[in-house]
Amino acid sequence: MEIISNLILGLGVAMTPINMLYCFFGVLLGTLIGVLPGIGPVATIAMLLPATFALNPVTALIMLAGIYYGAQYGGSTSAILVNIPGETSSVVTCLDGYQMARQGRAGAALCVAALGSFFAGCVATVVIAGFAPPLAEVALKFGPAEYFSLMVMGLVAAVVLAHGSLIKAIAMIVLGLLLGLVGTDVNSGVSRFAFDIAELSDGIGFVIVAMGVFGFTEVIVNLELKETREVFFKKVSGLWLTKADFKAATPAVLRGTVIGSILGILPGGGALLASFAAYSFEKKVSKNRANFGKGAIEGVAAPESANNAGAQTSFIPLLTLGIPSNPVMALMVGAMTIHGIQPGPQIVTNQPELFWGMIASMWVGNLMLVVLNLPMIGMWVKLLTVPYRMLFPAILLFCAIGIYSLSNSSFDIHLAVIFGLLGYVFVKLSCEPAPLLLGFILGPMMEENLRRAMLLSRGDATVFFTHPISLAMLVAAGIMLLIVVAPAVRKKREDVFVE
Amino acid sequence: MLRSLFRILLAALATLAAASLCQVTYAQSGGRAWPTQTIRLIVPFTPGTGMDTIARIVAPKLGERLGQAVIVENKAGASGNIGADAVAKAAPDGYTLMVGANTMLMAANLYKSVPFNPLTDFVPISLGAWGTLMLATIPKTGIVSVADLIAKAKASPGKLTYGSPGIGTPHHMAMELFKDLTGTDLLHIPYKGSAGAVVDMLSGSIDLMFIPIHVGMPYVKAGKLKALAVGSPKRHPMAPDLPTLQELGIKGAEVDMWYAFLAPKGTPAPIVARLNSELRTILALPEVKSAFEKQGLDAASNSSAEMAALMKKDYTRWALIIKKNNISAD
Repeated sequence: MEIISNLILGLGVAMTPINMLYCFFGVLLGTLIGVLPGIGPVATIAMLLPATFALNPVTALIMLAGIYYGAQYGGSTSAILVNIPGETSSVVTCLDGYQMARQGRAGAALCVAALGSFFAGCVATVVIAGFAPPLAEVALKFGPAEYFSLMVMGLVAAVVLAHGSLIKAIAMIVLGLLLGLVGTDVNSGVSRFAFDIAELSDGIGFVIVAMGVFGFTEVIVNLELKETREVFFKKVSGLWLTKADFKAATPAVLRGTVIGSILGILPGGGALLASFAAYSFEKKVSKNRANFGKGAIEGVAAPESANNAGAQTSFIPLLTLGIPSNPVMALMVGAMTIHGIQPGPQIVTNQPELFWGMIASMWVGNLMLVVLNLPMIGMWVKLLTVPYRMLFPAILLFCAIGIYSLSNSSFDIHLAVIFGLLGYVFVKLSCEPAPLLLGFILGPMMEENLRRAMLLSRGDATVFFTHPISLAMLVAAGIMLLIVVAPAVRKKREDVFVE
Repeated sequence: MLRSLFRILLAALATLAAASLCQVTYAQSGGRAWPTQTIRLIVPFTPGTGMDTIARIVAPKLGERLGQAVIVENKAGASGNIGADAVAKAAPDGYTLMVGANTMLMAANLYKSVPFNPLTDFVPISLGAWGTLMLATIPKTGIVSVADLIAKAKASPGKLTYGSPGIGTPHHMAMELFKDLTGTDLLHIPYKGSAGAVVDMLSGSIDLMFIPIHVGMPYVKAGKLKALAVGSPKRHPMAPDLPTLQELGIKGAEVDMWYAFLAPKGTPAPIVARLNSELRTILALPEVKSAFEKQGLDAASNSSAEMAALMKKDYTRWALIIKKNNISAD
């Protein structure tokens, strides 16, 4: 068994005291920056890069990778406790996680997030170890046409994400798409909807929108409903999962892990979709679907497992092809080159200790995260008992620091405040921000790939149907759309009959 | 090893502290010699880019020699225009410096809305590094040499495609120059950054690209890409067998990337001179040279006047190409 001997080689590298120490330091720091809203792994890794010069390359990469997946863990903590997604991946965790916290079940939510992530991390490690090279070939089957169809499928899934009015969900997606268009057009270099404001010429940052419509809005809304709030932090109970919780969460974790592992492999933002896709899928297949958005444990378990699995499998294109799938991976490329390792297709054969050592360290790191996080749940839950007059200014301050750290620009903070006010209007209109964010992420990527595919085919739109993968995804999107629309149509018919 | 961990912790703390300090307005230093306070080195691109690495390698060494901390501050956005504009409008007191690249000169010709003049709003301090671009294709095209490429491109104009990390990047402009000099027609497929373009090249969606040599070579060695030539005037040690475009008879095909240290216009000459001499020493250090090499960069330095001349030459050169080929952005 080659895999086993390879994993043993990897564990041998990862389990040396020095590498364990740096792995622990990485996941600890990652958890902390994940919990602090806005201060993300990109800024942290960038700051620490020069400091890793003195280290052995494997050790440095193990630590930096630890920061990345540690942040995925930590990000869910602030999403559940205070409804602020620090990372793209924790946006959907807010939906049900925060509702659980409001019902006094923050402990259970944090617990399922940690355990689900650990399980997903273990599976993803095995996936990378066993199938990284063949999976990398799959990633190369995705050209612009395939990405476009994948995004179409994602957008249809966004409709499923909402649990209120269908029309409002579609309106929010369209608004998200429009916001995503702000900035310089890739194909022509023309600036769109930027109103000659230089800060807008690269588009609006995702974190800015997410912090605005979730974090800032949450604070505004809470200020309004002062009395009812006092109740929810008094009945915090149950730090562990009940039997029923376990039963409900297990299938969700399994499904989330599979979806996350698959999407994570795609270099063009696949991992980004993982948690959204897992949540939408779970909402369709779960027995408990009526409770989604009202504190369903499946709604935390599925996306949390998916984002952790996706975060790990997104190392596959990096380690086997040298292609970074997101900004954090791009920094990892930087880290490798600083240490004289040029990422590329030869890394597995030329640097087996590095490749297998990193993979094994992911498993070790995940184990550390569970050990680190489970005892901390009690402490995090206590945070909810902090009076709001102290918690609110602290939240706003951390958000502002985090946003500022993105590009050292106070313009971004002003923008987040505007989105916060906009988010308040959405709450008043009972429009949900999650579909807006998905449209915002997918819109620009969809447009870019559509136009690139059309450019490459010289204006022949049939490429989307002649490429088999693309066709399959468009068909899947069509079926999903039918599933969404059909009940609505049926219901209307019933309404007619009733009258 | 434990000491390194401690150093990383310290670095993390120091960077956090420095980031908050940056915003404090400093009191004017009365009479003491420059530098009396922290110096900001602005990088107009995101962390992890080539320019950022240059800054992060040089900054601590410069700080040591000047006896004042030199802080790297990323002010990314608008193809580097936001950071460059902030430096152009900063007080010319020697406390705000930046790392610039030849992209600035291309962008200034492409975009009407560039709020500064890259030639008159800055005082060059010194060159920092050269980067080499390699012309590569995919095996699927069957192209074996530059002459073959030109022949195939002329046989079916507009059929071959090339990728770039975006409009106005050196990779894009290099190919436009190549097209102009060889009279060929290639279809431009722009991307947001090079990662996407490289993926599409490996998957066979696009045919050609000017790619930094250190990024491209691993793929060439693995047989996934075929290198045709380098754009620099001299051959590169990483691929000594690879001819230059000039050697192949394409006169004027100089498509390097350069990075330089700049200060706002009006920075006192003695400060520029001091920075120039410190940078020359730093850029000649063996550890700096080798750290740059790993990033595919060749450390280099020159005088302020030489740098100004290089900037002027490139500005006119790219302006001509952009005008002649009707390349436009907004």
